[in-house]
Amino acid sequence: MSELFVDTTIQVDRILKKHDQLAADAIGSLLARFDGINACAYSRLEFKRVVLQNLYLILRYLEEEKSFCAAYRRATRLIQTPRRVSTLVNILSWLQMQLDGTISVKKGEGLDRILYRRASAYIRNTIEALWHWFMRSVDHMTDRLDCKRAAEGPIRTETGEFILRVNRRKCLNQACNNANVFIENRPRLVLLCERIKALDNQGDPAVTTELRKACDELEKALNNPSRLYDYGRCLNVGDVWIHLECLARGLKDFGTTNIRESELLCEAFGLNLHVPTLPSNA
Amino acid sequence: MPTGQLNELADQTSVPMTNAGVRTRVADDDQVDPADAPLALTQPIATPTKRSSLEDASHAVSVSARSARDAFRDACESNDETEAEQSFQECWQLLESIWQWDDCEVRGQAFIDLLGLLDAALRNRDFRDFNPEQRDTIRQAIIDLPKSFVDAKQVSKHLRAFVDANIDVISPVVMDADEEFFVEIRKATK
Repeated sequence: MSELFVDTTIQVDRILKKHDQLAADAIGSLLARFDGINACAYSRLEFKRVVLQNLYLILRYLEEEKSFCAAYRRATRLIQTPRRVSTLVNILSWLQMQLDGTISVKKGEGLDRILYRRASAYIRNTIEALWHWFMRSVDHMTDRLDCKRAAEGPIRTETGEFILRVNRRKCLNQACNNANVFIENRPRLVLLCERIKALDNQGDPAVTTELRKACDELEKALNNPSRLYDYGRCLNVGDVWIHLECLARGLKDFGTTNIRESELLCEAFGLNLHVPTLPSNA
Repeated sequence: MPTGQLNELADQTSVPMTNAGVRTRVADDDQVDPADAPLALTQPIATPTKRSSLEDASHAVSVSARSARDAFRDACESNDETEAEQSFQECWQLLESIWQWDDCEVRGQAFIDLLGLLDAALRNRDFRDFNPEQRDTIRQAIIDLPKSFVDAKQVSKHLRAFVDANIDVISPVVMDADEEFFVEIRKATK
């Protein structure tokens, strides 16, 4: 029975590109080649950071302004993050608002209030649904790192609040297993760092900024693995952790759309890299 | 917020459809053309209503919620496909009508979230799109809508059941990329 281990990029694309037929078909055809799909809890944390927290920010705009239009204005100020704006545009489109011209609304009243109310409910539900979906969308979820941040899901309180936090300071409590995973894999991590540095010295473009950061963090941890009980430092090693989770599950097939880092990491750890391609191109 | 203050914050929204992808921008306040007369919605999705009293409005919300629940039950129990679709459409329209009442907020955030969950699941769909397990899951959730107190934890439970039953509730946020909009929001001149 063959099983595929997918990283965060595949999981994100399964959601964000589900209406992009070509991308969805490519991912679907990759997954269909395997009998089981695996992911890790650490990817769920990345999914939370990349997808859910973007939605959460829009939700906060809506709740602070109590107005759809005012939230939209705030979202458009962040032009580097078009996904935040498109979240609100998607809602208008989904509601089939067929407007041909200009309408006037007063902030927090009438149509603006109704749109706020609806958008807020849809986003709350989507965040919680996606959090649950991540676990449900795979056959097995590994958590060798025992990541506590990856276990913190959205909270819906009785008072109507909706909370989605990453309690990054709690990482300092050393409650997870990342230093132990580091120690267990120390020999292969040393080899990985040597490989990255050798390629980097040759000016090989395969060494990305992320790989350089990971290498730097791992080298510093050689004498003091406890350094990794820090949210930011742990994130720097994120790609490495996810590949190690694949090994910990005893799997060889690794699926990703992030070829840049995974090509080198898969080679270093003896994993088979799988990238979604359309059936005709496979 | 007092009405006067809201008037000062009056915004204009223009949302013409285009076929050129999602493009957005916010105009500078001083670029507003005073001749831009507000136009009517070609397909109004919402008609803000003035309630005569809190009780009347709350009653209307309750009546619509109960009717929606009953319409969905009728759809599930009907042996005739056309009748089932009619009941389903009626259910969806009743849910839609609840959004129009400002007083649906009085029922609490959990009520609104449950309404949003059902709306996201049913809108733009037909009854035949749902298999028996999905229909049962929706029915369990819609039963809670007319209750005077909707529990937030129960909403989460329903939501999980929807995800487990593969009922799509994320489409309002993550939807078909083929839909294109041009949205411009600007402050109105006085």
